[in-house]
Amino acid sequence: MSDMIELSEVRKTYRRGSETIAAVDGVSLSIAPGEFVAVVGPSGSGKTTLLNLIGCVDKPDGGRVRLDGQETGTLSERALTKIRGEKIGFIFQQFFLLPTLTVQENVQLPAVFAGRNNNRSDRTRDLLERVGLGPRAKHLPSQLSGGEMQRVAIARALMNGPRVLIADEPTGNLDSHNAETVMEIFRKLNREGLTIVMVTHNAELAREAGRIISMKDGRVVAAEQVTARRA
Amino acid sequence: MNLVTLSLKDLLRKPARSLLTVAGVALASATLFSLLSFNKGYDASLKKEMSDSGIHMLVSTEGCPMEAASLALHGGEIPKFLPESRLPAIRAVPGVRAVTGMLIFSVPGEGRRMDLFYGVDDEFYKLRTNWKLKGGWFTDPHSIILGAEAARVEKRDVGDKIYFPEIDTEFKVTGIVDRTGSEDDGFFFIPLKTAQKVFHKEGKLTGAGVNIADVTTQLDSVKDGIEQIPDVYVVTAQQMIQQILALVGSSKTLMFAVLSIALVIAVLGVLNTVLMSVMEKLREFGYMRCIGASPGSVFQIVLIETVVLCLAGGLLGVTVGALGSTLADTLIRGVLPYAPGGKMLVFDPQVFALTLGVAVGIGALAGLYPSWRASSVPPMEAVRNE
Repeated sequence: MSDMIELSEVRKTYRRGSETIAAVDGVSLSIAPGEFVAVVGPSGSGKTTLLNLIGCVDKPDGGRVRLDGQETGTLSERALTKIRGEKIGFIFQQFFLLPTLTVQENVQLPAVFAGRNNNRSDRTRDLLERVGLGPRAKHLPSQLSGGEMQRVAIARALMNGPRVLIADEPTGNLDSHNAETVMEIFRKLNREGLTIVMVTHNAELAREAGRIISMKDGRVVAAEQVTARRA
Repeated sequence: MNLVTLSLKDLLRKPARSLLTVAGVALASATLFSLLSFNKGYDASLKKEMSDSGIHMLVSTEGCPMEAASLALHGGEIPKFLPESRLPAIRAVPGVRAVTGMLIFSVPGEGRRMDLFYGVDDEFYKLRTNWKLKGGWFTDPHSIILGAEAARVEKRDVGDKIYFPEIDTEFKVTGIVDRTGSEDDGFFFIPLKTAQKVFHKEGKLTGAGVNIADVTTQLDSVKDGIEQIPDVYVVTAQQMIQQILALVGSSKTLMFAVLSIALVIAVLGVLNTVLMSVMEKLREFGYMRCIGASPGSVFQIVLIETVVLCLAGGLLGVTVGALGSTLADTLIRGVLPYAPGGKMLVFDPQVFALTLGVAVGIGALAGLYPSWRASSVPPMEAVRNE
């Protein structure tokens, strides 16, 4: 089976004043379909930049990024927009729910942008049931707790049936109880075959993944297969 | 849900800001609607007023067409008078169907009011084809016919008596003219001979109105014919209209200049509001890009918001403009050298559509830069400083 994500000698540099910073410095790694990978490392180690490159949010300065068999580094902005909308689901620390839209409308946003109208309402209902927010469909984000908002963000990320779920510190703004609820949803999605790449500072949560990739100074310094995953 | 509902809901995020922007556009739209309505209604009102007067040309001893128009339509006094003895000669000009002698005087009435007395003969009644008279024409030298507004103010009906202390004369109301929407509504019409006697101008006229049998073919020949009579000056209704329109033209230019400034301010207001809103939401647009929004979708969202703001402002503006047309009418009259009687601002569907079109057009124009700015936000904006 070919890899879902494949990075080969990927480099990304940023300029800060006269200083050039190698945020990602020659990273090569492969992630198989259905794998759950946690990326850990100290602040400034390049893990979010790596996530952005995988998620087609940013383009590499060098090397090659392949997603679902397609090299993304050379694609046009239009093609990358399509990939982001159809193949990738994004979850961020700051939920990014639009405050004037209801829960169900927020969930539907990716479908609106992709021009998908078929079964939109049914799918929204199903997704909200899956994250335990069926009764909250008509609520506004301001009426939800932080944990609930992140679950809405998860449902939204799943709206277009992505191949990869990309999560950047998804539990960073949550208490331990809500963090556990989010991780439980991730485990379930992964068991159903969804590929998940998650950046986290939390070592305990990282062990929920099947593999932990440690980064430092823009490089992968360690990769650990986790054997004792919770059911 | 679609991009339109997304835009509409976003406008509710800062309701006060949205309402203020709508108010700015509404103000400009109301001004535009009023001025366009006026521009369209003015010429028509003027021509209708001239036509309703039944007078195709005015004979006087003064040469200013504006003054002649003012005399014929609004009443007024001039220091020189036309001898009544000229009337037979005017009547004798080929093509003349009717000639009516008029003596017009204004005297101070109660308070600061001016009472306008219009001394007219029987020919005058025949020319006022638009009149609907309650009661009847003069029956004796002390008969009086009241304009509708004059009757309302004086609280008089047909058969009542009315005494004017300023001229120490009592009249009996024989008729009241139904409201015409012209200056006639405010006049006191009395027999010409009585007016000449009361105002000590026996045998004198302010002017004479001439009705021509066939205006289209005989206007020039009648004018030439009357001008052969010594010491008379002839001005045609068409000349009056042209002269008035030329004078009003500069006022119109000034009004449209003010309107242009209002429109520019409205555009800048919309631009400022929408751009501020965009700059506050750069990260949100970045996130939209992350979840599959194309630059075109983001562009549309902002542009729709702008157009909706301007459409709402435009609708509010034309509504306010239509409801406040009486006030606007009064204000516009205040800056014009000559304004016809009646209501100049009349609701016109074409003006309504044009005003909305301009409002939406300036909205789209003002929204172009903010929309482009929002659509150029990269997805990286969402994860910056994460």
